[in-house]
Amino acid sequence: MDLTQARLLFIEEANSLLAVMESCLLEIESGDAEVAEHIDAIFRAAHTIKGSAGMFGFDPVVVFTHNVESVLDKVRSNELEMDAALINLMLDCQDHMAAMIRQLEDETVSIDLQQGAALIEQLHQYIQPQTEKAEPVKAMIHNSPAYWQLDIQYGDDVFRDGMDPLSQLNFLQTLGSIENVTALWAFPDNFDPESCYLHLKLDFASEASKQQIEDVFEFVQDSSTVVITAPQQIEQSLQNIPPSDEKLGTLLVSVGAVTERELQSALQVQQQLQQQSQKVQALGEVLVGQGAVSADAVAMALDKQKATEHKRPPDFQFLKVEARKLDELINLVGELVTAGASIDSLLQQIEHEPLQEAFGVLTGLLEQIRDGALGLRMVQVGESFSRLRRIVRDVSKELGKEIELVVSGADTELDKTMVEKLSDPLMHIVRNAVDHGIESKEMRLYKGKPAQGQLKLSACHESGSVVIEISDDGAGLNIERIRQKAIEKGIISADRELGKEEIFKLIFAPGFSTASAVTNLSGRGVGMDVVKRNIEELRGQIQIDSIPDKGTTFKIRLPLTLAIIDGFLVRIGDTHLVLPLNMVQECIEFADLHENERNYLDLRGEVLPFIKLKQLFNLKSDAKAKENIVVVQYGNHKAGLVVDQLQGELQAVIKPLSSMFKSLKGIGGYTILGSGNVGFILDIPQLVQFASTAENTACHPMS
Amino acid sequence: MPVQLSHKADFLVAELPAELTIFNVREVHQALTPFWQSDSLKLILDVANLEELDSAGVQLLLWLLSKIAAPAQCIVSGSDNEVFSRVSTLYGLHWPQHFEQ
Repeated sequence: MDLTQARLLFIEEANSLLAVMESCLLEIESGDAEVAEHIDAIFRAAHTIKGSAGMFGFDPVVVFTHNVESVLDKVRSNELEMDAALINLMLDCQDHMAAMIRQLEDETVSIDLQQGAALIEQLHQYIQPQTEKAEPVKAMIHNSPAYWQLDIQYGDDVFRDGMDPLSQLNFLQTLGSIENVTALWAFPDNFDPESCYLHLKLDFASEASKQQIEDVFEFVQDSSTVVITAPQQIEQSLQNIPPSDEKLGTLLVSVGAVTERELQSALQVQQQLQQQSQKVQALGEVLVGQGAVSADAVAMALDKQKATEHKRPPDFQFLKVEARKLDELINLVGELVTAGASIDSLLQQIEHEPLQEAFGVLTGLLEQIRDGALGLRMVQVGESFSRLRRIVRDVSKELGKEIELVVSGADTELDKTMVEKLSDPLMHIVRNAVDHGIESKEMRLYKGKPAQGQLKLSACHESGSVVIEISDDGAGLNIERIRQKAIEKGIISADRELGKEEIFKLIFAPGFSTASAVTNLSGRGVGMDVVKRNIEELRGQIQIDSIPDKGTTFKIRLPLTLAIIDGFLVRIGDTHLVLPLNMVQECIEFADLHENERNYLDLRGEVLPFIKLKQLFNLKSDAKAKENIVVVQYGNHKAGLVVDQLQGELQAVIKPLSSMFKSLKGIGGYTILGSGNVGFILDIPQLVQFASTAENTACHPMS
Repeated sequence: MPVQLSHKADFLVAELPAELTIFNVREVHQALTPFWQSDSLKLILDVANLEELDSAGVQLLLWLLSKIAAPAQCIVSGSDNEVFSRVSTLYGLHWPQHFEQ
């Protein structure tokens, strides 16, 4: 690897670590995560950037990051509290570090040195010892005496076994101070002076560990019941430990709330219950039942575990693989699929059942490999969402608006290329929502809305597509104003009647803007047309729904991947066409249906518009050939596509059309069929929209 | 005799031996058994001579006190004995020092 390549790797790694740092800081700021959950990841990000920058001799990066790291280290050791001011400072430092990394990539990027110096000065204020701010929790625990509660129910044979509780009390005194001893007894009628009936309860002030205290009673453990309750401070120290992958028992033992013996005893009880086929009790419940630990401490420990489950530091979640290697693999899988289709078509010509069966097994495995390989390119859409979180924060601060960002479905997966290309359109929509959609605090209060606006980002899988929704609870789109603006800009004629949905679509027209004031953030009238184009380039669609004073929702529907699809092959004359299988609803024979003058038919009481693809694409076919209708659905819209022959399912490796054919509507790409022929992949969303609009226009010729 | 018994006025004084431990509690128990069943007993347990006292011994004394029910009464004498006093403190025990009128 040469130095340039290594430098590029450093830049890529630094950018990804800065993204981790940013998203962790934002989660802490919004209260979605505790400091303890993310501080290690934030610290590691700064530490790694500093270390790697040092290897390349990027001294300014090293010096600046060293200061950031020092402050983070103090937070990590509980010497500093990560309050709102420090989070702000850290986000500013993250911005500065990002600018420094950008400059390494592009020398024309300028760095604000004054700002850097000011940030270092602010960091130094935290680095200097500040006894007032620092409250070392652990030290506090060790310095104050811990009051243990001991409850010892001695067994009958204790005296006979040569044990004397007095000796234990004597020894206990060497570890601390015995307070408030209560001796209890319950003598039976047949009192035996050599049997022990004593029950002791005492408070014990000591800094000794639970294990040390338990050891005092080691020799009576088998015949007696010894319950040692840890002081509150010890159990509360669970709050101060970072989230952990450890099991519950280990976690409780590690803070000294439970001893190893108590844990083993609880595990034994758990096992016995299981063997007796009784309901299995959770370990925490058993420990609480045995008095080893309080229910609160168990709940705290479980929280630490849950926190880890959901908030594992983001820097440990992924293995980096060179994109080139992944693309090569996916290309090869694509070729494998094409070769498989070729063998399949040959096999259909020969009657050899065992061979066909064996090939069926191979095809199944091929499909798994295909899905697995495509899955490697899948990344969580949350990657884009976390960038939006920063935008919402910064823009709302700049505008003095209070906006809560609610994110759901961030773990929904999408092809990496799509996530990258989606980033800009999403950013634009979100900026618009914050800038124009959500009203100012005063206006919201005047309208009887809460002062804090809400912006929701959600992603989910829906019938083979990924649906991303961006909705706000703002003013909503003003239909009349959009219409007027469109007339003013000459986008539509003044006498043209449009439905609500069509008016909303006008905001995607080039140069359209209704914003009365142009701000730094949006309102320049560029953007929404680009947003639509970007999404359509991803074979996606964008829809708008808006209710006055309730808000606006942008719904983006995208295919899962750009590489391979399960398709349905049809033929018109000599032309092969492929439809994405997940959009195919059913196939029906066209000849059986009553044909009217317009292109719609009655499908079991439902009006179904259809397109004759032969006419649309001007294809030659045998006039006598029987025709079929393939019913396809996209979102809420259904349409029929009239074709000649239905040829069945296939896997299609999507190849993009040459730029020369980009303007061709209704065709999304092509694929090489097993026979070696070219199959055109139909762009169903465009065709469905075309069919619906054409039929709508025919019904309402005036519009 | 493990326990020296003597009458002083209308009190019965039980002088405990130098050792009251698991090794002789049964004996002492047997020696004291006839007395706690008496209805009108005023028993003085003299612990002044104690040199060795363990938990079994303490338990025996507790048992005895719990058994003697009114109108019978029992007090402890010589409780400033070092051994007795130390053990009593460790167990957090307070013994009756005076007969109720």
